[in-house]
Amino acid sequence: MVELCSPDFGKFIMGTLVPLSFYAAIATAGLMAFVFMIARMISNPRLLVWVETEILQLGISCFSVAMIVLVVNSFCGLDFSSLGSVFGIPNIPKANLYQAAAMYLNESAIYSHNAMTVVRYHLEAYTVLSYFNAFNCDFTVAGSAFGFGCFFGYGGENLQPFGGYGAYMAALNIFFNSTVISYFTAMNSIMILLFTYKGFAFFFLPLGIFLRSMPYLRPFGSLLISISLAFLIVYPLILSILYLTGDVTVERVNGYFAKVPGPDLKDFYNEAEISSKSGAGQSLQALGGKDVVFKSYFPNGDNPIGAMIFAGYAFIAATFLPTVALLGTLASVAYIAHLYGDEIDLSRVVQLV
Amino acid sequence: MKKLIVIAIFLFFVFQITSVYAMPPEPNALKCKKNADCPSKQCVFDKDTNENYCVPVKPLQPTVWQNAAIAITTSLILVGLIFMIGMGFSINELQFMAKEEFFQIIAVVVMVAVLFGSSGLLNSLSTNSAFTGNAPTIQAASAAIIDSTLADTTKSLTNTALYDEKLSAEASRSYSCSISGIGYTVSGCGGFSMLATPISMAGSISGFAIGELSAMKKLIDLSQAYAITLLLPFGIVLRTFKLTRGAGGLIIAVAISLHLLLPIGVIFNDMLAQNFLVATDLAKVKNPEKYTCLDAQKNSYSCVKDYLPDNNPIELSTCNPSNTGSSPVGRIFGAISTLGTSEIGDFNKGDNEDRAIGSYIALRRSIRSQLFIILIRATLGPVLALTLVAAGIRAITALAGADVDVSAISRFV
Repeated sequence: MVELCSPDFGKFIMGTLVPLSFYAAIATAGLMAFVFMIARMISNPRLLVWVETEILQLGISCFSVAMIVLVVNSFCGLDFSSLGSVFGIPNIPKANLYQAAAMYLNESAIYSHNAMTVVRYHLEAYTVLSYFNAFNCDFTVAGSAFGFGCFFGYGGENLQPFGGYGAYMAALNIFFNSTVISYFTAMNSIMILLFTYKGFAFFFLPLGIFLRSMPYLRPFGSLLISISLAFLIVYPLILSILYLTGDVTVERVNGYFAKVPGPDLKDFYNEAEISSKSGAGQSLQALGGKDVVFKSYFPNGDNPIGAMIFAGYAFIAATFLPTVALLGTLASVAYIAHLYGDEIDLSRVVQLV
Repeated sequence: MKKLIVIAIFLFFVFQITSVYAMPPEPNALKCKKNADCPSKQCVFDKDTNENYCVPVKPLQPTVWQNAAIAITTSLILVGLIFMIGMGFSINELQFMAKEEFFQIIAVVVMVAVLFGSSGLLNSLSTNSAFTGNAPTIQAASAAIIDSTLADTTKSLTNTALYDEKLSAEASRSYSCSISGIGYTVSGCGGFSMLATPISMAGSISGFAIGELSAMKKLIDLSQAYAITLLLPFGIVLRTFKLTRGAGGLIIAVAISLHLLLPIGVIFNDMLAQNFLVATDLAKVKNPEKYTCLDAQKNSYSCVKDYLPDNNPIELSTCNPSNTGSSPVGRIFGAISTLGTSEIGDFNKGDNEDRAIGSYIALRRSIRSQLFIILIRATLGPVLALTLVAAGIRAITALAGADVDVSAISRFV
């Protein structure tokens, strides 16, 4: 399949979509003509009325296809950098509407992935640190000043100096789940958009034209055309509007990281800390004392609260707003189907969102 | 005559569109790159100087009106085109559709007027220093409330985490002794381990509250920057056309709900919380014995003071890892050393069990003192505000003539 607005897209429209729709329309018209002749032959007025109605519906379907092609071409020509200037939003990267929609979802996926990484980094660090054990040998023999007895055996205190991250880990576990959901929601939205861009909607159009004129299949045909219209026009349109809000929603200017109080969250993106070292290396490092161990993970200090705030932000950018876009699109599917004279109950589908 | 009126209306709207670009920035206006560079202002591009400037945000900001006017004008032009095509080709259906759409635009204009009217009214209320501390808008006031609540919640979680850090170190302590391969290990501080579960629970509840508040902060930021300047005009344009009416109605509803209902929910909850504190203060004057509850053991349920914020560090006693208190000799020595002074809840007195119970009571008191912040301000507040937003989206989409099932949004609350 050809990608939307790509150089080959025009060829695809004129070479594949339009002929295919044309064949579907011709086939339908031929069928109508045949039924019309039969109706005249047997002088059946009900069949005649049916054919006249279907011919009108065929015209509406063909008009829909023409409109979709026109709108898609117009959207390909829109420049969101200029549109941003109209609304007083500076520094919007140049993109057409379909690119803008895809870029918002990519950016929200990056943003939520960064949040997930920062939360995961803290969780890993706290888990590793929690398991560190210290043993202070103070085995004194006959009143010796230091643990002289430690040469013959051991006697002293065991403890876990970093054992106390239970509160943070419980909270961060919730946010790890939340950021995973955010990331998957963003990826899911990207898949829906790519599926649209790669042409499922264009396959539905000719099929919709044909099915809409078939007895008992009009609701199904209407649904196919409605889905094509909604996912080719409404869904990218709402997402592209969100693209204009990128400096707030995904903090584009801050490299897709949340700006929070405390150490910079970008410090927690490097995953090659203690985990990359061998067990012997870690043990040797542990000899340096608990501060050395802590600093190996958090040279500038930890920021668990910042990680939680970042996860909260990511939820809005990658879950809430794409969900609103999908709801708007589904609402449009029902609306467009209603416009075509059919009622479609999408409440079950909405529950899946 | 009709043609003249049409031309006049057309010229008026053309003037409206071009006047957006003719607006010069204020003298001494700060240059900016993004909205975040302009505290309580908005970063707007000026075509004459090719620079971005900070423009004050007011309830009836000119750019907001002009953006809305552009949207409505665009819709009118398109509807006019449909009507003209209908007239030109004598298609009654198109003319009828254009007329119907024209009424829809009038409905939108009325909605926008009501929005700005109520926004101005609410902003004038919100600028009352008794409620908002001189915030310029309700959005700024709600952002300040969220920041303050977030800071308090952060302090609460940090306090709990500090306690957790010390407590877990104490709970993990054990004593070992071995010589010539024979030895023993005792875990005298095991009693402190019971506190790990309530601390984890307190951490997860506080963390959840922080997440809720952060999400609200992001929505408020979005609302301040784009609800009226971007989302509303786009919603109006989309709502004008039949094909995109559902999406347009939803975007209008989201914009209005984020712009008005979210800040109102935050402010109302804060007012309720403040009134609760004031009422508590008044009750204290009338009924002082209820508030003399230094010993929460004796008056724990009637003491309102204990539920109010107290950011003192939680007290924690130390543990002696080699003292299990189980051997008869240990019990005798323990009893002698704490004779006459041992009492449950006292720190650093008695054996490890007493000390663990004392630490538990200190934790219980501390958690109770965080309830007002965590449950009322940081959890109930966002729930109330987000419920208002979800209900607002549902109601406004219906008002905007769009039938959108927003149950998925309600499930986020």
